[in-house]
Amino acid sequence: MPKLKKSGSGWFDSSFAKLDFHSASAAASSSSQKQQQQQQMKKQLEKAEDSGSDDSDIVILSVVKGPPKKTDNQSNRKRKLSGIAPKTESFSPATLPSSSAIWQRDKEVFDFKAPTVKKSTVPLLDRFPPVSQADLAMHPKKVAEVAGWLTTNSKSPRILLLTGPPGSGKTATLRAICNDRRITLVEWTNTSEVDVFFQRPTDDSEWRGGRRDDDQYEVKSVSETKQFAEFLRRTDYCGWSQSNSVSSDADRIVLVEELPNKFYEDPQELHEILRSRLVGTRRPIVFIVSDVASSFKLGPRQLFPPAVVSELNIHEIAFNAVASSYIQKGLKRAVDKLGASYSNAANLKTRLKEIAEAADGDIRSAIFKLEFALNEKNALGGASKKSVSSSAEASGVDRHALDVFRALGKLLYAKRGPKPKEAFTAAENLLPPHLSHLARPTPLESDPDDVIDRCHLSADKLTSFLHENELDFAPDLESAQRALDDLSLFDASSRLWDVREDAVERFGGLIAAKSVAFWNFRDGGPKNLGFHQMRKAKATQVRREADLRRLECLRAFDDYRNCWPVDSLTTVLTPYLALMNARVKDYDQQRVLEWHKFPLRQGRRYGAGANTSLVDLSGVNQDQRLSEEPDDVMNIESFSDSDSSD
Amino acid sequence: MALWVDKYRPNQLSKLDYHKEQAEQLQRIVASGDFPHLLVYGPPGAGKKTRVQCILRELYGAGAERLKIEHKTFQTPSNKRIELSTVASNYHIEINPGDVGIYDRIVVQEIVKSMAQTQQVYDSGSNRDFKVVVLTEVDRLTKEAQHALRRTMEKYTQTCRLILCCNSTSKVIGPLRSRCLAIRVPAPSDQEVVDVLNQVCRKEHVVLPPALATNIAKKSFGNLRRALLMIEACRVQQHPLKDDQQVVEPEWELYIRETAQLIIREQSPENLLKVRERLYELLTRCIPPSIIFEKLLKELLISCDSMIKAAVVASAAEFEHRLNRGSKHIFHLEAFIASFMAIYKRHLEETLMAL
Amino acid sequence: MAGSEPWVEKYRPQNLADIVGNEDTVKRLQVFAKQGNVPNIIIAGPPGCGKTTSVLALARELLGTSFKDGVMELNASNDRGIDVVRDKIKNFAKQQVTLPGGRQKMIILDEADSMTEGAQQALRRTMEVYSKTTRFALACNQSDKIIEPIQSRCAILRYSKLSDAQLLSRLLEVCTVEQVKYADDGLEAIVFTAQGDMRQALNNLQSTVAGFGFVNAENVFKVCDEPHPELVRDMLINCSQGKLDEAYKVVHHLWKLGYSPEDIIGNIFRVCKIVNLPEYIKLEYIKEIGLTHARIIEGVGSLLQLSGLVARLCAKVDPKRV
Repeated sequence: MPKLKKSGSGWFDSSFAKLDFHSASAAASSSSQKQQQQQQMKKQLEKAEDSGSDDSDIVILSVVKGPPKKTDNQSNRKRKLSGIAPKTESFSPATLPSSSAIWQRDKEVFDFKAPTVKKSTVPLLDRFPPVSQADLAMHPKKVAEVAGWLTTNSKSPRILLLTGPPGSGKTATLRAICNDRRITLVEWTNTSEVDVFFQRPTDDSEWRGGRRDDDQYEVKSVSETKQFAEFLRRTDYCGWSQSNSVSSDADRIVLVEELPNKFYEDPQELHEILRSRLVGTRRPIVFIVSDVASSFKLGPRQLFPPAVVSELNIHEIAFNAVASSYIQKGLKRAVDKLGASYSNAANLKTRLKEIAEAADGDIRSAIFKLEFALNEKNALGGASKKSVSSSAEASGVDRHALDVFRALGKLLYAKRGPKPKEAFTAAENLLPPHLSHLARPTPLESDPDDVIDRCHLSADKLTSFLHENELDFAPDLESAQRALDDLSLFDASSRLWDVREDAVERFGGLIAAKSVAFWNFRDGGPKNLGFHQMRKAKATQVRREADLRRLECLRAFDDYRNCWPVDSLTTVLTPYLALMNARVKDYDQQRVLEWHKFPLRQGRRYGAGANTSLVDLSGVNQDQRLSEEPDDVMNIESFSDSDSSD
Repeated sequence: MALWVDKYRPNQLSKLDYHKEQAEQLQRIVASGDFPHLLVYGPPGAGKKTRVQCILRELYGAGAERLKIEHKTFQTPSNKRIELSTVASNYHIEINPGDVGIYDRIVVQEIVKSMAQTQQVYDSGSNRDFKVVVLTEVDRLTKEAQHALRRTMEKYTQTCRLILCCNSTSKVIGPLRSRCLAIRVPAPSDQEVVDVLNQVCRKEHVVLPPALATNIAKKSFGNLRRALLMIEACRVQQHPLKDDQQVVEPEWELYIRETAQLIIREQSPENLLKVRERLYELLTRCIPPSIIFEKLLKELLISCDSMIKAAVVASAAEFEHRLNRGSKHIFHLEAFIASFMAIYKRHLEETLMAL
Repeated sequence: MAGSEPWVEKYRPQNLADIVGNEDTVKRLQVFAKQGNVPNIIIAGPPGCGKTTSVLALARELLGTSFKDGVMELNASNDRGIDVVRDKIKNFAKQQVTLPGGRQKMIILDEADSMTEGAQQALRRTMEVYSKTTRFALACNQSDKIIEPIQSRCAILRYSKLSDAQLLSRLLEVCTVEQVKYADDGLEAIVFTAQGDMRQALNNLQSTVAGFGFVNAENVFKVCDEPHPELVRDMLINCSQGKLDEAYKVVHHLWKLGYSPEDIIGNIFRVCKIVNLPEYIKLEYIKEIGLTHARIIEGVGSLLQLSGLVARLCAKVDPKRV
């Protein structure tokens, strides 16, 4: 039986961080005092809260409200605006009972000053919404596209669908344009209450294993869809019961952004309602649906599939993620309106650029980061001295957080320190002779464990990103092969998807990171790639597109389903139909046949072949924004490996 | 616009072109009046569905050929609506439960129950007291659905017979297999394919050069659907047909062949990156990953020395297994190609050194 | 004695200033609390790193004694009836509450990643409409379970798991107040088993004190019911030298003692991370451990699987099996 060493000190190896007991205990004793004080205070507060006596109420109220201000009226008005009941009474400090330590302390902690312009109660996001087209931080072409749709005559489609990632400015653009032209937006809002959590599982849930998307909706939501249908019907008539003004129809547009919940579960119902109410409508209607990458159910493809779009003659305008330069424009406007101070113009520009880059095309996110970057005195902090900033620094929140691409860089470049460490070399020497060629001279600069912790990326996404970029960094074929093998290993760890997810989450991420960091070792140091753009992971997107196409294909070739299994449909039937240039039943089928034009080297057999690639061959993460970039393309700073680490 | 493959499909057991003995056997089964559940299996394009149609015709007469396509909706216990398209006649209904994913159990049970419980419409033409439910692509059924089917099959056997169709019985659970009479439909031989091609061309008044016919038969790998599509495509390409005419292949197959050539040409991470883009192109066009894998392997083996073939195939088996279990297909495809590249490169280097 | 109240609750910080860990983020929250205008936030992080505590402390500092009226907290395990939950949020958001100094009401949604997608979709509208009077604070483990439209409307704050030093300092504080007798290796052991989770650490501490009175490594591992890391470390070192029999003895011993396979393998993983072995070997070992773990979760948690793991670990250094 194995013997346990007597519990002395330090049975852990030296590699385990030696915890500094002495300084910790010194700090402990002072803070334990604080602890006790805290306990006391907590008890006090609780007592005060529980006791219902008037005395204690008055006492506490007086502490909370603080000294009266001359600007009472102003603050009252502000409070009215922000929807809070105005202050009715105020107490002067003279009415406070004799101060004990605890009152003073409370006064410091709960020191409420009435809000001023700089400290408004309205979130920064909503304080300065764009009211006209000039305020918009968007590519003018996109704005013009939407405006163009609004001005066209009645011949063109009267239904507009705006899609795009969240924070790309869909609603803002529409509202701004409508504001400029004095068009009223009549908006549909859900009247029913919010479904928040899991509903009760039914009896049948055992065999389903309680999967996440088994939603059940109550009877209430059925009437909500009926209400929606009613709404559509009413707005189609010229006589509007809702509005008071009698101006002409042209001045009103219907906006639907928030759809009744039921439609996400059952898009067919939405399609039916749309078909019955909207065919031949003259009233302009705008639907805004965000692209939700993580969920197909909530996205526009599910709610407005191509069949419905073509059937109802819906005009679709897709928004892209906002380009960094436009975000900067928006941020500058916010800074000006806020009256925030900054050291000098060049500094401001750099700071705003940092924030905009970190926001990744989402303008709301940029505003949040700006809000975080402003310090107490409403001043924008100076630009960081380092040549490349991390998004966390830009948001001014956490020095230790790493954004995705920096984390990937640390793992993929796999830099090793210049000086060997004794413990490390001792360990490496333990390798048996036939494996000694796999020894590494010095330890890694960044520990993969640590990097993963700091970058807060799910294991699934991390492995996808690493996979997408590994081949750029692998020094030779063997390393690439070993790293890819490890990456693929955990994805196949189990047939059962929940076991697999668990395995990937716990081990897959770590293995991928360690493997990549190990195998990307080069004798002369990491590859000098100069300016290198990290690629975005495409695997899931490709898969999703394939699923969508398969559905489309099945629907289009419905009448062949009798004799053709799915696989044969896509691999035998449709390619041959395409080759024969066969005349097909309808447009849907034709569209399916179009896919079978491959970017072959010898060109297509029949017909001309242009660039028929369905996948962006450059795979660079700018691909989304390419169409949105203004002419003066922003120079993204070089992400070289001379990056000084933190 | 009817394709040749649909136009000339036989609709009676007596008109089948090959496996004639099996056809006679089926006729006898139908005639005996003691019709069992059937499990029809075989490689794609061998003629399973055709035979099922013929059996139905044999059972019920011409009425079984009057088909209508319906879109049925089902409600799951969680109030989710599922849509499924079905093909039915007065006497049978055919569904593909693989289309509904995890809800297949509900769908199958619903359909069988409803078929079994409605009384057979007494048509003077038919003297059967049961209806037929045809389930296609049974190997895509979830295990739960298959288990649920066992009892259903037994319970409603009086009024409802099942005909199950699949490519391979390995994914069908034992209890289901034991409740059915298994009909194995092998792929037609090359000569049989040629015969069929000749027949069809005769009916279409097209002269078919024998060399071309043999060529097509070889390239179709026993898949008669494919052969017929090929011949029709050739006809569109060039009329009259020539002896040495090139047989068209779907573009994705050519694309894979080019990819294989690319792999053979250079083994390096950079090249692998290019290969990945090509794999994405294939995947995004709904070419199933397992088929990409299969074809790619075949093309690669052509250029392989016999010494490394064994290693390559072993590696392929390992990665195909992973492909099957995992969800990120591109990982496994790429890892396999990397592994192949490593084997191939090592072999090249060794041969060079030996020289 | 250790008392009836769980120390996790007793020593839960009431103010932002007292929160251990994630200093930068917490500091920013303090500034917000003083200013009185905080945006909608999502706090994402591993369990036991202070998310709920921060949110509650923030709400307390923002609203003081109006805490009860101005804050509504909901977590995924809350009320029974769906109607109750469904109506609550919108009604609370609509309600007018007298709050000091222009503050806003706060709705705290804990374990927000268990909300279904449809529910999150509906929530986003409420967030927008009532943004002037109500702020939302969501706490979750993984932020990617929250749909993008909600992420877009909130500031996402990421919490990291607590460092060993941070855990230790807190433990020492508690020990001083509760007058716990401890040995240094006992606290080290607690930190090892806690893995950056403060809740776990405090629970383990309290349990050890309640069970044994004296906190040393042996007692801690008894209470946490884990195999002693030393045994496992020796096993790994034996594997790296190819000594199968010695390594196997350890596994067999642990099995006989009745430890569950999940615990054994969890322990092996944790020790493997810190044991001093060559980098390549560590990589390969962690791979094997992960794969065996997957099998155990699938249901094959047998001695044979663990023995198989040990055998494969030994085989990694075998020259004949490259």
